[in-house]
Amino acid sequence: MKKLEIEKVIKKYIPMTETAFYILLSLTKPRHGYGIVKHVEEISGERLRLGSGTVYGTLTKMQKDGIITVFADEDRKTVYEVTEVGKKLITAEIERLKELHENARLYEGEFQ
Amino acid sequence: MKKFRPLWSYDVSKTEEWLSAMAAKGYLFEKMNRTTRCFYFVKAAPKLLTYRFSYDKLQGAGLSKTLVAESWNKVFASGKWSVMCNEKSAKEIKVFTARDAVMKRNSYHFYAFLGIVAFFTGLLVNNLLLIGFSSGGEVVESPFWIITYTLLSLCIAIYLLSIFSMFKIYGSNKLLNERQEANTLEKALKYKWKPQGEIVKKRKMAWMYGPDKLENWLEQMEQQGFNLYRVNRIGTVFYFIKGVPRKVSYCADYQTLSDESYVAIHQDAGWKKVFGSFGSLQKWTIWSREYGEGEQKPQLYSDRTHILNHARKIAITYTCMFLPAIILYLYNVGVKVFLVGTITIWTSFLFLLCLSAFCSFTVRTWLYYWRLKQQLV
Repeated sequence: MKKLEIEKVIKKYIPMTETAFYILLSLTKPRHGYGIVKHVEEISGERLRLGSGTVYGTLTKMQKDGIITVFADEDRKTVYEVTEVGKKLITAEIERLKELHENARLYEGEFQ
Repeated sequence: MKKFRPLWSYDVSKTEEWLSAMAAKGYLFEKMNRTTRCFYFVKAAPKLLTYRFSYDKLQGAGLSKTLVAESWNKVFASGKWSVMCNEKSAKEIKVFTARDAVMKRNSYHFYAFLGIVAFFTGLLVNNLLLIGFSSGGEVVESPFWIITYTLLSLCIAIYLLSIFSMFKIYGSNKLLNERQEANTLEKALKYKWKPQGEIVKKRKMAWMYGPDKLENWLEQMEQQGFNLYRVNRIGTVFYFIKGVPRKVSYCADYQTLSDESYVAIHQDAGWKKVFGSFGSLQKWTIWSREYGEGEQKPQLYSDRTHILNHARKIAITYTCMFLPAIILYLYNVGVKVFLVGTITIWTSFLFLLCLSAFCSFTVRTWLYYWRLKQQLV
């Protein structure tokens, strides 16, 4: 059951969009919705400025698929946290990106 | 010990407090039966316990690590519901289960009950009118009257239960919302502030079928120095105050059912809520955000997929809403006006008017979708 769930999620999400990848990648620790926006801006060197509607939509969808889970903090504000399924998904995507990166390094010289 | 609590889920905060009170009296929650609406308790030493209900479609996903670290544990699970328990008092606990899912579920129930009440009320009015107009009927005794009366009392019972549930859900959701909004000062300030200066009042009726046009219009008004400061409750009248020209980005956003985290994320990002439609089933929110001269115009949706998905959702929702009416009017116009011809000219005019209005709304939402698609190529 659990294994099937992971396979389904991987099939649905990989290859991930840049937005989805960065949102999930920023959940190295639980964060607020806007905390995610700020963090993505930081680690992408201000290249990616995600709209809050886009982030909210992506988070809602990921929550539905069991990739992330939520809880409420002291101020009753929603905090997002990655689940085991989500960790497996981002690991699988990182593996794929590593392969892409390696090949990019290997062949980039031939195009110059 | 067994306790019956039929509507526990419509006011979970109260039920949670009740479970804590029972634990303090020495009755620990053991399990519940969702079909019979009964809670079962075991006798034990009195204990201080905090309870929280959680509602989640995915029960297999396991508990959030942060909740486990805060010493929450799941004591019971059934269907989408689970009961969490913590040995600390509510004041000491820093993180809780989220409320959004419970509120969302109860909102759905609210609208289902609303449908039932509307249906029965319609039936009642219809019957009263029939009885009222047919004078002097004779009542014939029938051995089957018992069925009539049982059905009638059943209907009344469902009717009353629906109304009662609606009140309960409305009350508890409102309370949960207010606790949230207590954090934002904006609301209190909004009602104290009295506008001074030249006020311009403009009407915009059916902007929902082409929200991009409304956004452009509002942005142009701001550039001409008309600052929007209020929208009436149903979103048809816009009040501007003559001030300085500003660069403001406006976004009209549609959500099927919105929750607290939706408002929080946009407010944190710097958006101001200008308008939120009444009720939560069909939810329009207009957001505004001022930006500087050299800055890029801020957008609620930053990528093509989300912009188009949002527009498509609007188009599909309104099509589903208006299509039954369109078919009904087409049938009416077709059969009664052209085939039978029994209808007065006024009624047929009215029919055609309604038909064209519904058609135009539907077509306009798809035109809106099309416009965005063209722009984003």
